[in-house]
Amino acid sequence: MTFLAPHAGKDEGGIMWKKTGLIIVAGMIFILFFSGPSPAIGLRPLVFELDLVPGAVEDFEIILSPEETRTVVNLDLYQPVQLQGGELVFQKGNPKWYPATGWVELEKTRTVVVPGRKTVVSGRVRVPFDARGSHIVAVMVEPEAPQEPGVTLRFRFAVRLHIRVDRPGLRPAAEVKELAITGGEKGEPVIQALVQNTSPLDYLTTAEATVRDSQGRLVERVEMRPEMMWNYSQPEIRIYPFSELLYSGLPQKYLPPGEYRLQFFFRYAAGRQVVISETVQVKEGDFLFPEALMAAVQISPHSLEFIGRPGTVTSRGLTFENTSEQVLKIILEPVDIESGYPYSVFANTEFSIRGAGCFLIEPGRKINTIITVCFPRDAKTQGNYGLLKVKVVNPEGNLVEEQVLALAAVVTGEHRYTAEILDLTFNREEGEVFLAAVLKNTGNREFFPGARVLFQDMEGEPLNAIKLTPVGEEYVLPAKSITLRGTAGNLPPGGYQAEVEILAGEKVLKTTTMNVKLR
Amino acid sequence: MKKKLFFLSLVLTLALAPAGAALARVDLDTDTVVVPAVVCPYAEIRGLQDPSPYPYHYPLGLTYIGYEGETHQWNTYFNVVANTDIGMQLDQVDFTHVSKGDTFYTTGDLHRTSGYGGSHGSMFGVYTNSNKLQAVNNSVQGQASEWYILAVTGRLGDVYEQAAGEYEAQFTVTVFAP
Repeated sequence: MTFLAPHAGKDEGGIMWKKTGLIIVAGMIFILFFSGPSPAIGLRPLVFELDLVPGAVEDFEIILSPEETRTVVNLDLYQPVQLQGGELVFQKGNPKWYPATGWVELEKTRTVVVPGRKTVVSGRVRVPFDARGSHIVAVMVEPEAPQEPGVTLRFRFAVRLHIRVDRPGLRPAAEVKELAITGGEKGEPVIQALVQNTSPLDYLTTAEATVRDSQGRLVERVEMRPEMMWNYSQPEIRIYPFSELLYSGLPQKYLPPGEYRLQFFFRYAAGRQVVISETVQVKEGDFLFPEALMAAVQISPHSLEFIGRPGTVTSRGLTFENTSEQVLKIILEPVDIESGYPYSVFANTEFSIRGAGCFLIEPGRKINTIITVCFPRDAKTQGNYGLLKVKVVNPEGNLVEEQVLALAAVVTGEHRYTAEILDLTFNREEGEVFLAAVLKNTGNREFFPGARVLFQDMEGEPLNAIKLTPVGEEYVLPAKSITLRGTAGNLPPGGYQAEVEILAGEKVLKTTTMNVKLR
Repeated sequence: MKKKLFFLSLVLTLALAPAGAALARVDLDTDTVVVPAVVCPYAEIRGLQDPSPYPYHYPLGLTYIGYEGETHQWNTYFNVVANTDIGMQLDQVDFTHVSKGDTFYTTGDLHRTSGYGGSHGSMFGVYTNSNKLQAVNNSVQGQASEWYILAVTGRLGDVYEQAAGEYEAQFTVTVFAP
């Protein structure tokens, strides 16, 4: 690109203008590649709730946000389908199979959104005279994506039209088709109930199950939801007309072999309920339970953290519940992380168990114990750590079980988060390259460690970025080491530069570059 | 004259009294006026077409040498701003030879991330692969501004299984209110 100076005959001026031109070009390139604000796509509303009568005609408008660049937007009609897990998937609408898509007319199926100007797309719903119940249609609004070599990424919005056509005699109805307790992915017990909305109406639902033992005693009350709805912020789940949802819930208590009575409570449409019961047998080995659940004594919480300034005292409570059928003796035994550990909670603070560190607990009873940490006035700003061993002994004096709780006593202030990679090894197994790094926490607080390794060729061209995660323990204590592992796929043999970032959660603690040779 | 003025002031007083009383009523009225306002469910996707920052963006695209099992990853960032609960659906079309139709194993994972340039955070069940071309989660985000990474991976099969040439993959993210 050449820039012509306005005073072409004057050399000095020409040079100056050329320089200015170069600066402008460099600036333009910088702006093109590193521009802050980028194109955005927005629209409202995402949902239209339309309560209509047979034969009604209703107009609606979708407002597209002004873009920063001129964008072509396509609109099309889709049918939302609700799956058993609660997911909504969108399929191209076909009035032959889903007549409601034929009720919706769009003013245009293609429009141009111009910068600085609001764009409105109108539509009309014509409800047939024989229509009844709830009908859901999605208007798919999709900005045209530039066709790029390699990977094309498209974004679109599904604007839902919820058309409810009231008619006399329409009532919400539901049928529980199945209630059972089955094994989950990890062998854990899962209560499942398959429910069908047998009406042409959509409605909100909640569900729960109770588990009672053979004596009729309540073991547990379990909330149930479709699999994909556990993160949903609302407690009520909407079920679409004639859809089926599979509600599931995880019992949190140990279910020893025996007979149980499951009862499923399905509440729907603001006041209606279906209750069904089922007797189930749990046999030895049917399910896998976490060891802690099967313990004779349930302890809560499983770790204790004390936070305070020098010269202050902090207390925490521990609850012990005897779930066995015999009187048990509990013995609490503080244990150091290792002999001479510089960040010992017992060496650096005054740790005490209020009352005796040994007590009896009746079957089915709970006992609370208070544990106190006193931070000395000269306490260093750091984390201090230790373990609390809980020994459970039966009336005959035999050890029934032993549990270990983690203890942390943190002196508030500026903490040091630092770490080193002590060793990084590469192993090729069945063609795949495995990385193992030994990371040492050289700071004074525990953290969740990780590492990111970026492989580059010797010219510095990036090839592959991989993440290393801990094996076993999730966090690393000060002055302790942990192994991180990851796989680099089928990286071919040869010399590479490896840029290693040490992470504490999402934060990068340190970056080092090393040359590596892969065999 | 005084009489005239008296009558005039009397007439004015009588005429304006109701208005004054009305004004007084307005002043003393303690009823609440309700102004209905509706905020429509809204969503916006931002940060599109931004070059993903190093080391996640490979400016030269995905260039494969061609050996068996060769794997490359491509990542891109986007930001979703919403004032309501939203879900996401991901649809995948495998890497496909533009003229011959050969394909190779392709995956797409949506991760949360702290912001533009952040590392891969937690996943929320929206991941696709060549055996599962569609994935959806109804409750990905609430009233918030959240950043996401779409991580696309392509893994070659045996050397003879895919012809040399140009390949294209396509991923579609659908945002909706559940």
